[in-house]
Amino acid sequence: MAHTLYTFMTGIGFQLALMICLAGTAMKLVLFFMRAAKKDKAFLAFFSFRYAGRSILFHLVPYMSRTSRMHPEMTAITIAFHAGVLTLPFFFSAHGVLLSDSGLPRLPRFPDIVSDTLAVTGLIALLFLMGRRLFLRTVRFISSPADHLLLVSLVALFLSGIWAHFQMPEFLWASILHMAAGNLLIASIPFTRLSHIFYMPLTRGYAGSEFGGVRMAKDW
Amino acid sequence: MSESHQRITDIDDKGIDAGLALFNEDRVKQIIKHVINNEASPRLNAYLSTCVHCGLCSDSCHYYLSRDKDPSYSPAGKVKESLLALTQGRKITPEILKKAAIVAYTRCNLCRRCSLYCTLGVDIAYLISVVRRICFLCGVVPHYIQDTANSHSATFNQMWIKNDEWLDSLYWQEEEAREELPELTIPVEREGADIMYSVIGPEPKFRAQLIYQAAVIMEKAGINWTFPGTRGWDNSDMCMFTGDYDMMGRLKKAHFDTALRLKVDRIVMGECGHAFRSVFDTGNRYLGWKMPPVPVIHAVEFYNELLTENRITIRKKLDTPVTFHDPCNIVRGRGLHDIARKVVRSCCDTLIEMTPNREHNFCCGAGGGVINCGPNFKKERVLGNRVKAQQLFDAKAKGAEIVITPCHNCHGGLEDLIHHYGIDMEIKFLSDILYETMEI
Repeated sequence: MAHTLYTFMTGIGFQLALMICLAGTAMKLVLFFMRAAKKDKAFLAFFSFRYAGRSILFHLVPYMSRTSRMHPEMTAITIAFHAGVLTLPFFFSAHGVLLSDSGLPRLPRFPDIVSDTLAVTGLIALLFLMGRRLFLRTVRFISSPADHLLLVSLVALFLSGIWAHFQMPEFLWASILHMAAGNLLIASIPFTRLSHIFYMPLTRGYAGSEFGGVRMAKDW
Repeated sequence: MSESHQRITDIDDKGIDAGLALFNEDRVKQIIKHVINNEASPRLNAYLSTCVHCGLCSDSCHYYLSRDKDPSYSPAGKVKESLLALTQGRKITPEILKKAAIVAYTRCNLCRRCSLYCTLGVDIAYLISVVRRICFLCGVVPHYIQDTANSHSATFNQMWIKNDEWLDSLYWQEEEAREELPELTIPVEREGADIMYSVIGPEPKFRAQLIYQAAVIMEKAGINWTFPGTRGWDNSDMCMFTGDYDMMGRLKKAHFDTALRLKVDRIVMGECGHAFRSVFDTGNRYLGWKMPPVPVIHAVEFYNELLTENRITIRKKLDTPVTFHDPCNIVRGRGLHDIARKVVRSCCDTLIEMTPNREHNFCCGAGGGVINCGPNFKKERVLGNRVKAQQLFDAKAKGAEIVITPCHNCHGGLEDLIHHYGIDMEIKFLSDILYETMEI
């Protein structure tokens, strides 16, 4: 049973998740631009790669924007989480083996100490974000059940990954849980808040284009 | 419940209540569907999908900070209580619509400060504008601002001023100014002038001295200028804030058409922020112009030109210490903060800065049509901007006696703060200071 699930998760399950993610993202982006051409010509007219890039850069480089300086702990936590979640799927050695076995080009692989550090700090960051969502009045007020579910899924992903990597008891089931959570999260990217992965260059970029190209003001 | 935290649904407003008297849930749902599907930009969905509900926008909002960090005043909280309440709930009741209208019209100045604090670039001001549009189409708009919008529809100015009254005000100010400069004229309908000078309705109605001062500045600088004698002289626009975009377009068309008819090279706008937003940013786009069809500059840029080109000279700088309040619509809306400071420094000895300032300045609390929503919402407005009052107190403690701000709404907003919190400061326009200190 476990082995059948393992094979499914690393094979068809993963391929299906990836296809849903890519097709969903493509569909969302095509719809966005089609609707922009019809209903928001200003978006296309004012979008500037120069100012969009400037704005994105100032908001992504830690402590460059005023908001990241005002919340230094949140900046550190966000970096810790994103560093793990964006790099480990590609450069963690076990993932590298699975990717190579799927016929994809061989990617560089992190030494275990780097992967372990990223995974553990990522998990701690997630627990901090969860605590923030549960205990900070302002964040709790705007949180929806979907926000909590997303965080729980991410915690499950990190925790099961660490569990499986260190081969703690029942690690095979931990691997399956890890892959199930990973596949679900990949498939949900276009349809949940995770869509900020591909919308962010458009939303922050457009803000930067308006502030930089029209309003001649800094926006960070 | 404390007096300062009155329940939203207990607030009475003639306009909102009249609209709600005709409430029909199916019609409201149809309107929402129409706005979301046919009018709203796809950015709306992108913003709602992108917002990760991190709450980092909260600390950018003067309402949230002034209201002891009450989450319902945070930018994302306001979106939850207005847009999401209207679009994501199964049922829409009159109470939900009333709450959405009050939040959107009276608890957000559309100042765009939160856009600077959201890493993902969610434009909360845009989302709140969508709510206002829905409320406008439902007929649920605060009475006072709707009355101003009605004035725009009927007279093309915001103060119910008839055209003969407009002309009378100009002749009256010309007569007054001739006591000081006997050769002075206030040109009206001068075709081919270099500049069309446009103002907002309250100038002839309440602040006629600004027309006088503008005429003196133009005369001394030797500018070939004109006022329009017909509709199109008022550059203000409350329709932009009520959500009446068709009327916003008509107003801006009248303004641009007037400038084109007079064959002027450019429009210089008086010291107003929201009007600048409407002419430079919003109204022109509604009409399909990427940029205004006639070049438009704000008074701050114009004064800077006059000083830089030595068209006017400063006789003696003002020795009273001053502070400068950055109006959102010309700072986050046009980046004029440094030019404005250059003008202030040209005519004042001491400029004391409030912090945060420039693009990060706190709104006066009056902008976005909030002050135009009338006396029912004044208390909410002043209590919701304690942080600005604190900035003024701090500037006062450092010695500032005067606060300069080149925006009519900011004058109204700061005046109310000064009275409510008992801050002993005077508020002035840049033209007040220029007129006072220039060689005449």
